[in-house]
Amino acid sequence: MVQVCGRFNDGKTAASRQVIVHPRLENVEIRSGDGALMAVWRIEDLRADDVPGGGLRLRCLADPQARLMVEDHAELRALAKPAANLTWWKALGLAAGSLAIALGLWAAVPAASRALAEFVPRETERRWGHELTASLEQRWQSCRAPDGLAALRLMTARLAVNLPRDEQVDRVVVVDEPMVNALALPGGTILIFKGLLTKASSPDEVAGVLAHEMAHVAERHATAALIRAMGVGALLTLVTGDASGITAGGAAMLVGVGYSRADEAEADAGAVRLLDKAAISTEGFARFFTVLATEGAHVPAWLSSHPDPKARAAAVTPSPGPTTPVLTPRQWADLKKICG
Amino acid sequence: MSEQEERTEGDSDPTAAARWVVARARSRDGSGNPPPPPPQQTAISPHAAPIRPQPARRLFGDAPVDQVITAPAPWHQGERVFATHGRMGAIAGLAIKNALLNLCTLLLWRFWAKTRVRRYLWGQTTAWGDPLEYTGTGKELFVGFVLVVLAILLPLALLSAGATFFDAPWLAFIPQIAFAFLIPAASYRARRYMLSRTVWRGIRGGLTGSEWLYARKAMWAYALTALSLGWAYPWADVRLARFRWDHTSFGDRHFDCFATTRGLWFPFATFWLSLAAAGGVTAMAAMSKFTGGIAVMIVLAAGLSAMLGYAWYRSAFWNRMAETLHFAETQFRLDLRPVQVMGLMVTNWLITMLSLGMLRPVAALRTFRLATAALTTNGTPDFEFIHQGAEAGRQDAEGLLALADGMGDF
Repeated sequence: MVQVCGRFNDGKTAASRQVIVHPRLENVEIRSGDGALMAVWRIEDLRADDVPGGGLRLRCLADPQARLMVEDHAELRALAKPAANLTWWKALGLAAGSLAIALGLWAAVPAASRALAEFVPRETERRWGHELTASLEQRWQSCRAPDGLAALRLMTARLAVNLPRDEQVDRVVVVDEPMVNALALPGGTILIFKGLLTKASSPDEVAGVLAHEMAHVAERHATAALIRAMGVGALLTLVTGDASGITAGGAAMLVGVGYSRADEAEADAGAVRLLDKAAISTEGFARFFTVLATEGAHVPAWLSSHPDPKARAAAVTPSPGPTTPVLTPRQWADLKKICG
Repeated sequence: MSEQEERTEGDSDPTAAARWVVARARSRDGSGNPPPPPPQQTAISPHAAPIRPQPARRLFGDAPVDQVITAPAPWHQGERVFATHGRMGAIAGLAIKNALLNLCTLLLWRFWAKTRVRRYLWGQTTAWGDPLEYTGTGKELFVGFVLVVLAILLPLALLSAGATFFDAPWLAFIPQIAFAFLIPAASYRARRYMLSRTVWRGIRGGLTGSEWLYARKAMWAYALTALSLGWAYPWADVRLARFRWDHTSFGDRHFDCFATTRGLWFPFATFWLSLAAAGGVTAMAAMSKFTGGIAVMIVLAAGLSAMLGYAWYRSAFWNRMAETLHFAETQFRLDLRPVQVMGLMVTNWLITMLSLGMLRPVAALRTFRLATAALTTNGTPDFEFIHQGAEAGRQDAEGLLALADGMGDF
């Protein structure tokens, strides 16, 4: 018969004793060299761990502090139940959990940010808008030719008269940059880029874009987008524990970009309403999308912050009643030369 | 029997060697040359146990004893007290597996990853021949994290948001001051968790003392350091380290730390001056006309010299701490050389950066190796008189520190 000796720690002191291990049918007896019984461990409570440098460490669930060090022997190892390796189950559960969190964020954040945008005081919004414009105006020149500004003011007034009283436009600025774009900032400031004025072939097209941006202002999309980006970023930082914010930034970009499409569609509908109320033809607005479709690189739809231009053009309904041109040809020429 | 069959028969059978010799002698060679030696019984590694016959069912029963398997040899006088047996391959594999699982679970796996890394590092470290154990679980870390998010981070985040939205910048100060106070408290709690989940020969470690007292001491210490432009740092360092070590226990015995700042001022002065020089050089390089490669080289050189100064101070600090640390009739001693420490810091930083944080456990193993190689003791504790401590250890864990630690290594 094989006699197994070991070193036993009883978990009450740090001393090690030489013991002899007697495996029986249902339990294992641990006796000291002179035969005194030190512990009796049930075989079904036994657990084994590997020890560096060879060797086996046996534990008993009923006596969690005691430890028995023995030489690694196949039969002793077989006595103790190996610990279940739950790694893959845990990982699967966590993956499912993280997916649920991501979907929850996807669904809940836009509604929450839109609701929160209503609570932001107008003064704060306007201050943000001014700060943003000030920093942008340091980079970009604004165009100030008086005749052009007068034409612009005329167009703005004709459209804005139909806006609700508390959602008025703060100011409209033309920026001397060749981009074909227009921006609505929080607080009611609208930026129009010179490239857009150059590309447009009639004042109705510019009026359509201006109405679109006014609709953004009326719905407070810019503020909601700001809250959305900050909210998603903050939430993801909390969940992932990523203090550097890299995951948050990347995800916020993807999420933010996705929701902008809904905002854009809403702004398109609002623009059509404004144009109809101001008796301006919507044909120019629709035509402008075809111009946009030919312009610029093709970004895949799900990455683009704007919906497909052809779909947008198709969504623009024709004007219901009689329309008048928004600017005279003379005023249109002035507007085109606003940047000198 | 053909030669093929014989050679594939059980290599551990001693008679196979004899049969092989006979078969070779009967070969058609007939040249009269002595037969080549029998195939060696090669062990898998020099440290593997010699292959012995495994009899069946011989552990049980009352037959007379004919074989005694002795316990693994304990530590012998004169051997190294502390040792790390971990292998780079194993921990790198664990680190990569953790990284993949982290990716699949949006970093939610990090609590279990940290636990597994700690289990490996602790389990491969031996003291007096017996290994440590880490008994913490990923669930404890996760629960601690959730509690901290709900109880501390959410209110603070709402305060910050409120400061932005309602144009009240004074609101933003509250989270900042709260964090300055909470981070030292959190690090103390994290240390307590780690110590209470460290077991050696069945005896638990522990950390007594209040984390709020520690946080208060830390705030004062850092305030004084800032006021003195950094010159109070060694004093602050030693004061906090003494608090931590005086309250560290193993079983029912405490450590005693008698550290002073003696011997630290010269290394610290070097560190302070090298840091100031590095800062000055960087500022000058930023303002001067050197651009591109030369500027980067200058900044890098300045950074490296500051790191050397830091390594000198840190190694002097750790050597001093170990020298003045006592535990139950044992004194400790660290023999770190500044160049060793700096080499370790630089290579660990490189390993971590180049692997985007995935191989931090590998850096941790290298640190463990250096620490155990340099640590020696004078005297052996009387293990009979170290009893199990009374404290069972809190159930929740690191919490705030887990958040501040980001990806975490151990």
